[in-house]
Amino acid sequence: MANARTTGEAAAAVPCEEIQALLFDYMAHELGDKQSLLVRGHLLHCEECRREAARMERTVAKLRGDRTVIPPEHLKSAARRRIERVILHPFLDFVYVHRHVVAAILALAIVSLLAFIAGKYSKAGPEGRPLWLGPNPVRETDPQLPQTP
Amino acid sequence: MPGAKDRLDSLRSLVDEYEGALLRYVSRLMGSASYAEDVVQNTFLKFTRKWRKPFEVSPDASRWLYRVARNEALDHMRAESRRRRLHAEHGGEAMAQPTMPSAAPSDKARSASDALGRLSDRERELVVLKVYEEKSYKEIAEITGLSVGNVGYILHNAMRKLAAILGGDD
Ligand SMILES: [Zn+2]
Repeated sequence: MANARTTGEAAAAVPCEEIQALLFDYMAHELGDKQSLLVRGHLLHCEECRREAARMERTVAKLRGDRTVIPPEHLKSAARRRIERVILHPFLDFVYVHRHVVAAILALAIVSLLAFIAGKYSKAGPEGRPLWLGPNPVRETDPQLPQTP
Repeated sequence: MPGAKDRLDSLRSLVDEYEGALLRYVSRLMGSASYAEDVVQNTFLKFTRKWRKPFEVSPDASRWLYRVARNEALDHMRAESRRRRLHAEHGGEAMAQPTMPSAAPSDKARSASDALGRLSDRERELVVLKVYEEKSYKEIAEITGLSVGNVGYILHNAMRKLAAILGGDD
């Protein structure tokens, strides 16, 4: 009995600031036995710290009672299928993840192919005109061939 | 080496186990449920592509998922606020909060959500894990990479700020 009273008196003597620094930990059951006892003992004797504890409790209750945000409980099935595709179709997923690189490589390949085709058919004719452009059209300014009588 | 069928079954169990918790966590962190599904889907996509161990419910997997979900959520929020700022700078009308949920909130509820929004990212993350997910300081330390002492310190400060806003007995 004397021991309990001593503990209670010791708790009451602890500065309120120290107790209030422990209040949330106390309410979250994160304090060891000794510190819990100290806070509990202090609260029995201190009106101000009890008010502070009640304020903290109201705060937690308001946060938990908040219905502004209503999180979904599950992912939609489309989202789940998208996730499972990573395992079911790893190649397609790889292409999707690296789509920018794949697109760049494809573009490069197409440009190279076109350049190759252009080079193959561009063996220059006698006037330096590529053969694939067809015969040189006759222009008005072209010198007339001398007429044979 | 497990086959695709086994891996798929394990992945499904893992998604079943964590999807609800991650959706709650991300929604609270972002102050909105609008983009939570996208964020959580991306989190699981990254997990499925990068996780080299078996798909099992474990503290390691849990820590990994929470961390990636947090980063994804914060990236999304930053991109969103950049987009809004740009829009405002270029003569757009002041946009209403685009991520407000459809349910009509009570004044009290709105102030609780607003109060959370006034905390730093780190504080909000810890409050969500403690108050809503009811994780222990040790679990929070594992998820966030902080020390247990640091978790307690940050939470104490965050809760005092929240109490100053919400603690009145109305
Ligand atoms: Zn006191």
